[in-house]
Amino acid sequence: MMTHWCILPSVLGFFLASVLDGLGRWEAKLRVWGRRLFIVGWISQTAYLFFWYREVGAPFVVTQGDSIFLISWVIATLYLILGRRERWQTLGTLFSAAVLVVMLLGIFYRGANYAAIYLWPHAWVVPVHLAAAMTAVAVFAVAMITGVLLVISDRQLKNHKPMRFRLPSLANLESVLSALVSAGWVLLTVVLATGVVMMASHGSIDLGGHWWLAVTAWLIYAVVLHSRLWQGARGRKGMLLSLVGFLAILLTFLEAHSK
Amino acid sequence: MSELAIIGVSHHTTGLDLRERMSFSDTEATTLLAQLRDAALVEEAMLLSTCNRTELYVALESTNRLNDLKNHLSQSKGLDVLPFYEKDGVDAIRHLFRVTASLDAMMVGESQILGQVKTAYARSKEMGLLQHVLHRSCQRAFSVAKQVRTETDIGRLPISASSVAVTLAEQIFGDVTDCRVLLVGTGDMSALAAEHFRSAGAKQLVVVSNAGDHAEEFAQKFDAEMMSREQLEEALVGADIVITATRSATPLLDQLFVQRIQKKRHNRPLLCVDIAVPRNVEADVNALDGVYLYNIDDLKGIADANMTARESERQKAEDIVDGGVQKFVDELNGLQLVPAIASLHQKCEQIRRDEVEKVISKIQDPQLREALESCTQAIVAKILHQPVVELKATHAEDASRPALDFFRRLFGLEV
Repeated sequence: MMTHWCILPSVLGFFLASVLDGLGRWEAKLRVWGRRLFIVGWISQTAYLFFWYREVGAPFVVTQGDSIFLISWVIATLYLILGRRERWQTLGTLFSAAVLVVMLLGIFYRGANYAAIYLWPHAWVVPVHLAAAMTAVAVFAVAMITGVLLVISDRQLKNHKPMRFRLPSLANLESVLSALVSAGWVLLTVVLATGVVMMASHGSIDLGGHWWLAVTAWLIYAVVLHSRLWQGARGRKGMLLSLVGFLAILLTFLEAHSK
Repeated sequence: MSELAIIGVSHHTTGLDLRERMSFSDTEATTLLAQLRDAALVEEAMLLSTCNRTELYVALESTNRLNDLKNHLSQSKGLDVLPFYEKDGVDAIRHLFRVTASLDAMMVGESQILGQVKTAYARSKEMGLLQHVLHRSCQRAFSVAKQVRTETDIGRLPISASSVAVTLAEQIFGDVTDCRVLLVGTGDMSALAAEHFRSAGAKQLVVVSNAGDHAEEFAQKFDAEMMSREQLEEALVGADIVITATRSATPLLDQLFVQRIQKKRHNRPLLCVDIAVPRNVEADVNALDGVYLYNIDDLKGIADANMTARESERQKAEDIVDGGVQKFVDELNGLQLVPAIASLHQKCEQIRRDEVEKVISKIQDPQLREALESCTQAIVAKILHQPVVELKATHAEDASRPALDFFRRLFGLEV
């Protein structure tokens, strides 16, 4: 019952945060209130997950809706960390709206239950696999948003446009993008490894479509990481590769849910 | 009660010649203020002298003394004319607030003025020339100026070529503190850029030039590392920001050269600011990934756009100042009532006490005595409440004397 009471303040918090952050362009105080309401939304969202876990136990990601809700929570958490920097606070509307949309999708679209939970009801590997997969999707989603901002900022500077809308600096966007892609890649590795363990313990190796998509995404991000860290590939080329990687991640997510 | 008054000259009213003559150094300002104090012309005074204005802020009972102050100010600079404007009361408060918020500046939104007013304020404070009128006015002006800075973009957008370059660098690198700034050329433009980057916190400056002694002098002045033109490639590999300002007839950097450099730099972002005419960097360098090239026209274009944007922010800032002035004036008007209201309370309390003392000795029960005290106190407070509320309301509508005078006559107050 407590779970439902947490939803309303969370929805209201993110909704008002997106509105106030938008108006914060003209009135700085509103942005401060926007951030406070975002925190209220995040606390309510966390409380929801906590009570939901107490209600259903591990793994609490039972349906597709649960996984989407968890993704929205990871996105909110990441923005809470990034938003500590002043220039990221100007992106409050974008992130609040994104969190709100994904969260509402999770609430209203419950979807089917995960088959894996019924195949291995007591295996430790299932919650790890699911949690890592959802977190990876959210991390890559934020990486995608960061990458798009990076391209916008790069275009703005290349085209000598006046700097009215203050995005985070290129260097900051670059380092955040690198950190997110690295973390996402590690999580994806955990997802693949736990997936192999699950299949092996089931006694048969079923290489479904989502498995190949996940491996493709893993390889693409490995190339992205390698070229960023060792060859200094930045800007549009790196971004194009990241985009293809994120598409593979999205397809993996959808394919896994179509089972 | 004393009111704020101002006499002064500024870029709005006089030309550069007269402003130059009316300019006061720190020592001269201190001397003048001391003279005014010693001659008992003022009790509160502050002298603000910048490139664009010289203004004397004083607190006076009446404006009759302003002419004496104008004469004194003119004579201190050996002038026969009195080119000053004067403002008093609310106009003076508004002027102080607008000056401090940089709305009266030649370059609207420039940030230096706030520091200059603060320096003038500190000097007067040190000399004991600040009492409640100037002190309150200045403190409120600082707070309104801060509000203007935080709530509008008026001071955020750079309007000179060098400060645009610094902002671009901050847009790319976040903080220029750890950036390596390479200056190719040692002319005036390079010096200006070096000054801006130094004041923005850049620690590593490198000068590339073959100008011999002059280049060494330049490097010494800005505490920069010195390299020859032959070492340009090596210098570029280590640089984050390159400012080119040489008189070279042919470009120093072309696309192939920079591409080679970028490979060595692992494609780290590179900001090229070419302020030379003819240009030192070929335009197609901007097409390279991670290289951002700006020439003098690009910088000017951004500065002009920012200037327009500042103007559009101006109305917002003026509204903040108007709101601040109104609030401050209301508070000052409210202060005028304080002595009369305090005096009324004191008088009524005295009457109450006298009457209570007449009967209290006949009452033995301490509880009854206490009850009598509380009861009479409550009666007085309730009777006085409505007249005081009415006085405040009437005074807020019209701060002239009649309401206050009537109130005093009505209750027989001497204050």
